Amino acid sequence: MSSVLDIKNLSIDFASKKKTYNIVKEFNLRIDKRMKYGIVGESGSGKSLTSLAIMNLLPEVLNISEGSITMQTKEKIDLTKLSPKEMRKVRGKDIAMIFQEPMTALDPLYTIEHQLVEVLRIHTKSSKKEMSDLGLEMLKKVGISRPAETLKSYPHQLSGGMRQRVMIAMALICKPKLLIADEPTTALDVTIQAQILDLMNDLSEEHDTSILLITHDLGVIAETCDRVAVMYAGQIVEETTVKQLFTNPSHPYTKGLLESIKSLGDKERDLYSIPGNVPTPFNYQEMGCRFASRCPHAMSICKTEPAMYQIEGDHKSKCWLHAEEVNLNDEQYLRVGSQ
Amino acid sequence: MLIPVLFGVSIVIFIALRVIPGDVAATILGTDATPETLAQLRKNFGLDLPIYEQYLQWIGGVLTGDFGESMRTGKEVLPDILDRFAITFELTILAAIISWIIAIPMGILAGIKRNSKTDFSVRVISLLGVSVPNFALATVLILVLSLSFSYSPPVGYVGFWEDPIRNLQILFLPALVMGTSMAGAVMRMTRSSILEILRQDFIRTIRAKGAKEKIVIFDHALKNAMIPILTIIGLQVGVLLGGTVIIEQIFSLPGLGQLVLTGINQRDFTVVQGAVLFIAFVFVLINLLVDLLYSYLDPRITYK
Amino acid sequence: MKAFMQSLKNDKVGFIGFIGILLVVIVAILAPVIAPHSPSEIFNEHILQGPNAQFLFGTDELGRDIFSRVVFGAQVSLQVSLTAVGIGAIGGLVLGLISGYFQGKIDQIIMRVMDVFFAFPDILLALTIIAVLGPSLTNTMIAIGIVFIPVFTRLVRSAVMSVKENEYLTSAVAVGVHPLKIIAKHVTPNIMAPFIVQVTLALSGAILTEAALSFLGLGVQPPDPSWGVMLNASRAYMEFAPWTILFPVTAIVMTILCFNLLGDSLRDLLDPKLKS
Repeated sequence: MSSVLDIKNLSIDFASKKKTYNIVKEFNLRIDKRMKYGIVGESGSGKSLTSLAIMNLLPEVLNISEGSITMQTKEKIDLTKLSPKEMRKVRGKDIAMIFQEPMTALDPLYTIEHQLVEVLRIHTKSSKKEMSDLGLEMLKKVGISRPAETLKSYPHQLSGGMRQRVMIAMALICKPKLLIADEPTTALDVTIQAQILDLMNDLSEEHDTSILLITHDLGVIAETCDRVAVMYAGQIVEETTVKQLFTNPSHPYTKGLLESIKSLGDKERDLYSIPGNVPTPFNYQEMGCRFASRCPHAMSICKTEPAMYQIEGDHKSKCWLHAEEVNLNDEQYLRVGSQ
Repeated sequence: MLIPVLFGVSIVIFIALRVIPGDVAATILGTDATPETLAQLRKNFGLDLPIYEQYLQWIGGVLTGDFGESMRTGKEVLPDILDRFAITFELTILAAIISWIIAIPMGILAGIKRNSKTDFSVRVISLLGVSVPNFALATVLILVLSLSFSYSPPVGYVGFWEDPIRNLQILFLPALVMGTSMAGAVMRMTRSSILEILRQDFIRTIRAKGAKEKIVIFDHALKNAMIPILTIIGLQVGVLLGGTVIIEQIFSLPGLGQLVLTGINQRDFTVVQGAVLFIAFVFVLINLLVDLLYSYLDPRITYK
Repeated sequence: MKAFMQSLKNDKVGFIGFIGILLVVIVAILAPVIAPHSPSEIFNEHILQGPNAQFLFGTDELGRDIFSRVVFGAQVSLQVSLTAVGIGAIGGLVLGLISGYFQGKIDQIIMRVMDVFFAFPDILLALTIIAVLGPSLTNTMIAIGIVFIPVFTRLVRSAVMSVKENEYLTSAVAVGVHPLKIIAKHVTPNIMAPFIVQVTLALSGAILTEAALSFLGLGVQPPDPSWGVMLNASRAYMEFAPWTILFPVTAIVMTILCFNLLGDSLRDLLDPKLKS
């Protein structure tokens, strides 16, 4: 299968006046055609920044310092090397994006129609009538009950769920190859969440669109995705199929995440949470394994950064426990931080 | 809303003028007037009536478009107010336009290019604009012009319809002074609103659509920023209307501000109360207009 | 407070403003020491002299020392602005507290009256009040003070209302604490930031309005050395004696500028919305 998006060795830096801090490091990811790929992580893990980097919409203080983002459009192009003008042609047309906050993601002063059609006006040369018709059709597709009326209304007249449907319609109207959804359901009622996810799934299948779903919620991943990358403190720590992740989680961080979900569903048990706090980018540099300080399996070697180790097939984990050469009896593998 | 406020204004100004020590009769007749002649003159002006009766008489007239007659010249007040308002209004409009031409593009530029050299210079200019009082600017400007071009403020006023070119020549300098004074505040407001809007989520959405910066800035950021900018413009027009009092004095323009000032000095009650009420009316009207513009611009606001 | 001063120090622009104001204050307090002459002393042989060793800023049309007059003018400016802002702030505090606390009818009445005052352009309102009271130093302060009342009233009222709506107030009242006590305790920190910013801006506004009124001959009366008065009196001579207006204008502009610089950084410093 051919890849739609291939990110290799991506690093994102934050440059202050005095010093440069690395925020996202050695990020690798490959999304194939029609694949639904999830990135899961706590807030501050760098998952949203990665998505903004793909769109080349990083805030000014952040920049891509290394790596490539290759996109398969008509030909293979590296998004990090495009001029602003070329990048604009990709945004909205080849890659579309849905954001977390449907309440603020639409311009309050324009009608839904204007904002829906705006994408078409930017990327196609259709007539007004054609664009308007397509807008109406898209609104029908995303399950809005009175599409013609909605077309003429303003964002503040719609509910959060409706707005997110509009956002989906807007994202898919140009039939993009990739849809990036950054926490698309986080701000919505639980009852609406599943509907929106289903809708995204169905429509992307219909349009042959791959999905990159970014979320902190493993439940959303389980419901939607084929493959998943777990991010912690700016790095991918485990990458595998969704099935593998839930049946055979390998990285201690992933295990901790799953544990905390399980404890949520089980009234008999105390709520489990991973001890300690997420490190900030300001002290990434001195750390070996960034999870070591919170890890129940921490060893002395964890002061050195582990590589991505292959466990089986394409299941990878960034943990010394999975290094082939590890001999757990060796002195440097002594456990130091056991709980 | 509008009407009670204006009634309030009329009551306040009317009572205030009646409290002023010394009245028109005394000022007209001078110090050697006998009590009898004073009383006679007061009676002519209706000043011997209880204050509420005086007020009712006056406001009754105002409601039918009769603002009474000047106590000094005997001329009808309203036509005089309207004549002079034409000057003040033209001055205000010219000043407002000048300030917008300067301030809005510069404010936008500074907002887009935050922390650049342009931004820095715009911030310095606007701060100076806010800090230099218009009368100081006018005085210094006249001084500089007179020293380097032996300029002196034109004597005598010519109406726009009589000789538009001469009229604009006369009004250009005062309008420029008022416009630049006002530009500072508008510039700052424009800059900070643009900055605020550019931080919003929907701007990111529009960029994610692949829109050119031109669309992002003009179609979306500017339109959203117009709402706070309008607020400051509405307020500034009030400041301008008040500011003309000083500028008209410096440039010897026979506008509404000068009418009020001489009216106060001469204790010409009918003129002052009429002119002040009129200015308040225009001020309130402009703010109403701004409110209407809001609801036109912003679908979330409906004007009640 | 210490942390506050520290962050003010880090903000160079605000610090310059602060130092500038401090300088004006020192000059005003030490005016009798700094000024070489009395502001009203007339030197008949030295009419309209340019700046020289004896008269640093030159002399005016009556032969008075402009330097001394500018120095004493700082006194007048600060006196007027502090008193006026005091009147405005206290008046606004009282009315705003009453309005926001009792709400209902009283609130309605107070706010309608404020609306009426808002319908006057500032200068015009000050002019009218001066006309009623007669032009003098004291009346200038009162007039400017009254002009400021509506702004402060609105500020205090909205802060009180927002505190009143908070649930902790309801719960505290339920426990039996007097609501006024709570208001005092919670309104103060809530209102401090916008209040300080408003005070700084009002101070510069007051200096400006005083100068404008005096310029029109309706504020401080000669021979009191107000910068506005000096400007007005010297306009007729300025072509032959530019120094007569240059120094008072510079004094006015610099002082207002410093207040605005400080006001701006205070706003950035105290506005939690802008902090991130």
